[in-house]
Amino acid sequence: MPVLIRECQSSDRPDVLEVTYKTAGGVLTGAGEALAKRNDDLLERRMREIEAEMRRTGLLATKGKPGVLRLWWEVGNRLGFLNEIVVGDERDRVWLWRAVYDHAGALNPTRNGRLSVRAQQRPKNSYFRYMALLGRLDWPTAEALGDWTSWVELCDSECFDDERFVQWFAERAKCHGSPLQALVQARNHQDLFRTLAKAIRHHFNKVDTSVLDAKELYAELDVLAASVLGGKSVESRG
Amino acid sequence: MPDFWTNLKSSGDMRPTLINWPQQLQNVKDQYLSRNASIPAGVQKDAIQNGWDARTSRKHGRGWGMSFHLDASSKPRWFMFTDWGTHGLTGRVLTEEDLDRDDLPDEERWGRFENLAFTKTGEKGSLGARGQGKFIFVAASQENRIVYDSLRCDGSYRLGTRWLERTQCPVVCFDGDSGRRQLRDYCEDIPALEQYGTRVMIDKPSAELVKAVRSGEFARLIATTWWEILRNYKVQITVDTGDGSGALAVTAPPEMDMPEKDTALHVVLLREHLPVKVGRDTYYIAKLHVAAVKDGPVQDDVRGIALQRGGMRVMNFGVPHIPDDISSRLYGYCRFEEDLDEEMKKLEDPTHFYVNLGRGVGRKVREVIEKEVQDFAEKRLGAPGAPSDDATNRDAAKRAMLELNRLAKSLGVTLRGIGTTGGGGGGGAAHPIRVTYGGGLLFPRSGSARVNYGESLKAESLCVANDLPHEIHIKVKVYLVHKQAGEDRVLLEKTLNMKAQTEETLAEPFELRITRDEFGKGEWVLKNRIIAMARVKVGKEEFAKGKIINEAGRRFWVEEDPPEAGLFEDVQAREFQPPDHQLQHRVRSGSVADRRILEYNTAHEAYQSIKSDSERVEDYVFERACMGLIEVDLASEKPKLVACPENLCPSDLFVAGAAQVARLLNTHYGG
Repeated sequence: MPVLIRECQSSDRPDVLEVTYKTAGGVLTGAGEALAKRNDDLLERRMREIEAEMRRTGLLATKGKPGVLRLWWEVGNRLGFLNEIVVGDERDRVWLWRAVYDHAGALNPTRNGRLSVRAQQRPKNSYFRYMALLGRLDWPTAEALGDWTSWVELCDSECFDDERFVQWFAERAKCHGSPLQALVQARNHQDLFRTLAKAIRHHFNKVDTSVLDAKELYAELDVLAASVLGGKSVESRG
Repeated sequence: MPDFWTNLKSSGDMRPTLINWPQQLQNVKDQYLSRNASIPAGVQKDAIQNGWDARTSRKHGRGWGMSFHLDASSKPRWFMFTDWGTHGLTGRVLTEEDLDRDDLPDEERWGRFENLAFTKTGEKGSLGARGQGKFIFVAASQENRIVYDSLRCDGSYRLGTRWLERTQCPVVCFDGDSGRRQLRDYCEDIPALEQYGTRVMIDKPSAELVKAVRSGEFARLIATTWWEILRNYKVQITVDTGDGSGALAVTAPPEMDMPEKDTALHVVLLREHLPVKVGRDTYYIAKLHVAAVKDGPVQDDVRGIALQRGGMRVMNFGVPHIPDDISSRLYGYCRFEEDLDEEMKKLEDPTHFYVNLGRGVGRKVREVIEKEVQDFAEKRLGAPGAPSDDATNRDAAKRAMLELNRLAKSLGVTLRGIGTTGGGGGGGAAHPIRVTYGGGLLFPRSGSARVNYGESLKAESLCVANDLPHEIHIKVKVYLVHKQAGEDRVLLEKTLNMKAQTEETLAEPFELRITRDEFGKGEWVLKNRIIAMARVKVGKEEFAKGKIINEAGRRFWVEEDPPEAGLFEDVQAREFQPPDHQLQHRVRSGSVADRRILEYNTAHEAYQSIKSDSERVEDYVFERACMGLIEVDLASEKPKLVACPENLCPSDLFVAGAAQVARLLNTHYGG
């Protein structure tokens, strides 16, 4: 079943957005179109609720400012509803991350409100997906990341398509005695986190993590965190 | 006082310019590929065109015929084609002095075939134009070699050969019995010629050509290209694929048996003696015949309007502004009266797959046909009304950009490796651990990465090879990526322990069927990935578990033609804001590093003054694109158009740039 989005159909007229349906199968059925419209309505309603809540709490005012991380963490916490939406064909679910932009209103994270090519064409790299991933962490861990840009850089790594990376952050940050917890609690946690993000990107470059079980993946990430904490480099994977 | 140049010639130090022949041959291949024409398509077209031009019965083609024959061996030793009802390759083996004459007689056919670009002196009605077609036969040989022989109308026999070396492309020929002995030495199975005519044997034909012949694609190419002579002259063209069925006659495609009036299945447009005014001259389209099928799309190799010349389809072109559901049902052709035919011949490129419809007579012909077909689609087929000026101008700008891209390519102006139109893969040394498609991955139409619903990508097998001298533990993933949807879909996953220097079959045969339910339109990539499941050493590199050892992909486009490759990927109309509002155009980065986008300012007075005339818009944008090309060239590491710009002062640089723009315009308008 398709996902309804609004996009520019002509490069000559970038401001004119037209309704289009994204679907992995090539066919748009009447039932699919109706479902997509219902989902579009739902997205609009829920995003307005979230926007109103963020405005009420004053967090919306932090948009574009250094303290914005909390705003996006709160929004991310509330985007869990996207996983509950029925899309019919699971291959189309990824487009919900693109569709949210159409209903973002004041929550649109882009600087000028216009969608970048990345936001339009690569739903996996949607900032709203990154917010939802951030929302899976508890606030102290998220706060330890330092700033939104660092999180975006990390999520941009191809390996972060594997959501077990976020799971590792969420679990190990709470795990007593783990190198990640020590890293989160360190005074210079922001610097350390930046180093860890760089180490993860480097270590898992050109790696298909789907062949590693959780134990193997976590073990490698633990070693990386420990090495960052101890100021050592880790052996390359090849 | 003796002339400087005469002195040089008599000094005895004169040397010919050496040619890098493999590169020259690659250029010929690239010309065909740039026209979306495969090598098999080029072979059949040039072979029949040469034979048809040499027919003895010029008016009726009586007694003319041609056979294509593939050797029956599993790895064919030759692919040959023979014509009869022709003069044969008459004439002498020509010397340099003979070729130096301007009035080379028409009968010197052997000499013309052996040498490059010595064409006939404008014989009316002939199809050949530049005399380079024979090199497509050389390009279709794995070894770049051909053998040719001819029984001439005076009863004499001659055999010749051509092969390619680094700096030369030699020919050798033998007359009479000596030639017959050479034929036996080449291959004992090949019989002597019994009828007057000419035969060309492509030595060890390329896999692409063999596949096309065996699959029936080659015969279909003949049918769609030569349907007019097959139908109107009842000539015999046969193809023997070497599978034991013998020589089968090619017939005109049933679609081309077009009704002249509406039927239960067709809505028809028929125009005859249609005027095309160019300045003070009036030319005529002899016949424009278009049909719309009521019950569904026609095969895409006949879709659009075919430009016919001398019984040969040169190219098909689509008419803009007609919705897909109507244009997919439209097909037809147009044929020109003699004067216009000659003018159109001048606009045809050496591949015979392209006519420049962007300038001069070609542009007028295109406009007349587009108008007729658009009116037909609107009045008879329910297409929406005429497009807005904006849409017309956008199309005009796009045509200008495509023409400039073509020109830039011919001048070698690129930013690194531009030019892929799909398919791809290959090149360089093979990786020691790799996924292979047995017999190569076969697309439904050679030379194009387009796949329509109901068609398949096929290979004899899908295998993984380990050339390393030790055992490896790997996982192989074959998956699909839909570019627009960012969707990954796994087709096959297998974990393997592979012994040293072995090959494992993953699927046999391999077939990827493109169905409407499973595939959205647009660009897809068939990818394969080999992942280390245990530490493995490949050369100096070591791969831990999970590390990707090798990854490759083949692109294809579902229900779409691959995008045109070129320096400019798009041209866009923009209303420039200050401080750029007085600029006429600007160049910005494209979606990849080696492509650019040209923007033209619709608010500029110069554009405002011509925007109501789409022809002038095309010229205007072309000139802007020329300026843009100079900018891109000057900004590149090694400029091709302005030599050593760093040594020029600003005023000289300006003059050099302006001179190049003038040269581009001259080439464009002057041909």
